[in-house]
Amino acid sequence: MNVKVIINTMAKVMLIEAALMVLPLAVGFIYGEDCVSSIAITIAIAVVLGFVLQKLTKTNTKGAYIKEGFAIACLSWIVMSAIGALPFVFAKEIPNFIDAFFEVVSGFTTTGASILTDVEAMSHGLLFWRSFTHWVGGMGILVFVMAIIENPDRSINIMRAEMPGHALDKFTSKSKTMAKTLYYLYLAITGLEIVFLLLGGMPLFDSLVTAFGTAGTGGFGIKADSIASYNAYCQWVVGIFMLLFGVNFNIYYLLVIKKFKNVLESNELWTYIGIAVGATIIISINIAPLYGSLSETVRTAFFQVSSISTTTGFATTNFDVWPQLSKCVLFLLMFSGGCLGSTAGGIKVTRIVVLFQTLKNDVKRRINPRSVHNVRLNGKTIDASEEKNVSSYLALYVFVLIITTLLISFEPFDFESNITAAVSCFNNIGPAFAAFGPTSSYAAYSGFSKLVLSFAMLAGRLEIYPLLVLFARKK
Amino acid sequence: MKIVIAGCGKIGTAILKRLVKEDHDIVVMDHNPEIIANVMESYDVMGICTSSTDCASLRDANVGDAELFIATTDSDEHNMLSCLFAKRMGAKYTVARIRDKANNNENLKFIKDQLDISMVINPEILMAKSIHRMLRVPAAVKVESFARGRFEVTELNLKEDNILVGKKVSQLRSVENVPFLVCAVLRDKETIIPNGEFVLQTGDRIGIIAEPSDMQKLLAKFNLVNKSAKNIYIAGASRIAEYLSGELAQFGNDVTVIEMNEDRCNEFRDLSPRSVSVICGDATNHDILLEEGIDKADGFISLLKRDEENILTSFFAASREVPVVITKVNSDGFEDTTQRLGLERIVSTKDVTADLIIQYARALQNTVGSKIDTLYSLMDSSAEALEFIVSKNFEKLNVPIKELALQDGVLVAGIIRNNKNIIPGGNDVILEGDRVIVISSGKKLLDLSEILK
Repeated sequence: MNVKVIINTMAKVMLIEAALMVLPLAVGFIYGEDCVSSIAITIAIAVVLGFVLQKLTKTNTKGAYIKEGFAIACLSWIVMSAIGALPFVFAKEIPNFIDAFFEVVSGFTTTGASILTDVEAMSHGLLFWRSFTHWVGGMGILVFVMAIIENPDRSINIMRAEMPGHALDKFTSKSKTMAKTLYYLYLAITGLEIVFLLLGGMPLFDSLVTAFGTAGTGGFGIKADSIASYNAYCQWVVGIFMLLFGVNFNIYYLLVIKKFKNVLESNELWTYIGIAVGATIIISINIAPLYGSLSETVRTAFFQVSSISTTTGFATTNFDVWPQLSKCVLFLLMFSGGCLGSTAGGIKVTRIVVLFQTLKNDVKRRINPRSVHNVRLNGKTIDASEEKNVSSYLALYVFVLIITTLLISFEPFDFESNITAAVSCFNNIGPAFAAFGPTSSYAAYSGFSKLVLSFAMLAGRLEIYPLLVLFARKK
Repeated sequence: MKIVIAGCGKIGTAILKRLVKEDHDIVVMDHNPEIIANVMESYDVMGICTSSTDCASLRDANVGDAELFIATTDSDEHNMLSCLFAKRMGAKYTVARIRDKANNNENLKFIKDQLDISMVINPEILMAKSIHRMLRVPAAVKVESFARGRFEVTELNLKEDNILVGKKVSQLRSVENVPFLVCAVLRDKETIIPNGEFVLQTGDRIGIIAEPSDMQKLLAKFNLVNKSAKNIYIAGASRIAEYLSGELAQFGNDVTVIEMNEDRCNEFRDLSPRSVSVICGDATNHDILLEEGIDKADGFISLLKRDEENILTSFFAASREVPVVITKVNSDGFEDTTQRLGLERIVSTKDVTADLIIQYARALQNTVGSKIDTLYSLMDSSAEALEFIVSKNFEKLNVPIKELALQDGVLVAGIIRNNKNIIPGGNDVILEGDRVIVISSGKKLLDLSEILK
């Protein structure tokens, strides 16, 4: 393994993170808060460490193969979270490092699971940083690094490890151009949401933070009741934008270059929309007795569906008190997630589309062994090896989920709490049911369980494989 | 520059590999999904799995915006058609690989004009030409001519008994009356552009630039064989052998072609001039080679189908003390190993073709300042010789070369002024309208002004 290229990229990530922390620093200054010094110290540490490592590994590196790509993705995310956690510890707003690490991993992986019991007591600077990690983690920090810095050879392997969806169809010839294009799209849609929120009368700070949470499909709120206290218009805006960020970004690129026909052919997009609409209808009917007007019922149902299916985790109501049917629908939505190539987590609708077709074909083949079938995704037939990849990903996914659940089952919570917490973290959603519902926090877990859940979040965000590198035997 | 490569076989891949290094925007089309997957994993390019004549896919590849479209599938017709499509869709320049013998010169010219193809490449002819150049100067490992044959660069390996060993580069210039320059040295896999203080060692591979007429004299002075190869054996009646034997026969050489397949032998007999003798037999069989008189050969060229056969047969020829043994090797890995094992003259179709394409792409890209007229790669592609025409925008016109602060790894190796060749020393100057040949290692020069610090 080419260790130099791995460390070199990690050093770049540290420097970029230091640069990104200037934003919360500025916010801290504007509000005149004490957190400024702790952020400044962290920036200094990251800069020094980054420069030293960069100097040490400065060679004409040979490039990153698949293995290096995985290692870079996995280690960068851990290092990034560890550094990102420092300001919280220094400022004593989250005194325990493991807690802070959990919080920041949850931020970067766009999970939105929090250990904070009183969000509103936090300083603005750190709240801003916390939500900003969503925005950065959503599209991926390595993609960001690639968009602005000179890259080693075969850098597509790094990008692929962090953003598996886009590797399937690369739409520009250079990965650098592609990374830039993705970030421009990301920036544009985020900007649009901020404007819409401001128009709805949301304060600037709240709009920024909420938009970051939506864009990364993260879900850190800055209010104890998440989004519930904002007006109906803002809730609609957030609900719709969450759904937009769960769409494969290639779709937006196709829209920009005016290839509408390809967009219409995208069965992943239609399935995604279909799932959201269907779930909203079922839940609306089911929860109608709990809410007054029709508009409130539909809004609440849609918001929760959008939030859970895109794995964001914002809430406008405590859905833990909903009837069983609605809770079950939400639980299933936790698995399906958004599209590949979006900022959302979960198994991803794209894979579900493939899995269902594979399953259907298998059944047909049992009945008539001579019949020939294919699996189509977005207008193209995918070959058998890709079908197999999806199936084995599913198997791996279930396996990781079981292990995670098992490891956190030492805790004195009921089964529903534990399994939904594992599902919620692994799928990068945030809130779970019962003890970890939208109105409570993960503070009650022990340090060990928090680390287990942190790794589950990373596994979910990086789609498992990069993390396996940690356990791969050295050759 | 945006480049589309249609067809990614051996030659396509060799071209791709070189173009990627030059930082172009590249789209690759091939109908084999495995090749596309492989290419996308190894290079930063966009891959489309499709036939190169599919209009929708050509549009997906954005051929309309491409400066250069290169068709290198193994089918001539596909290449012609896809070049035509690409051109009509707006690609600026098109290059087609056309190798069918039926397309003789007249045919080719017609096709080129009618389909508006910018350049037609026939890798086999390119190979034959390149091998012929190597045969003309047998002591050399490789000979390249520049500026339409005005200069030649000869690459040779320094053996212990060579008089150049242990000399400083600056000494050499004063010792000999013939003007020449040592323009590049390959030592321990590293290419060095030597300055005056550089001392040559045994085992170095050096590049010497001189006028073609002086080259023979020089090689004689250096005690290197300068008897041009006359009696030449070719193993394998491939298409390259066909072009090569024709050309060699024209220059009055005795050519013997050994081929195993009887039908091909008969066909070859019909195609080649009478002075070429065709032997039906297995060229890998040592007895046959001995019987046909390999001991008296001046040159042996192995053009068999498989690399392994070529390498082993060449070793046998070398062991019979044939002065010039040229081996065709296709696989990159073999090329390197074979050279290390002692076979010096390795040729490969894909490298010869890729050289030409790179040269063409560079020339296209360069539209500002002094223009690269032609480009050649030296020393296993680790150094390049570039030819510039000096425009009046060059800052250091009329300044002696020794006073120019040149970049490291750059050498002004030749100047052509008013039809006169100059191998420049420190006191020579560069004037407007000159053609300047610059040798550079590792750096990409696009403009003459880039040679300055």
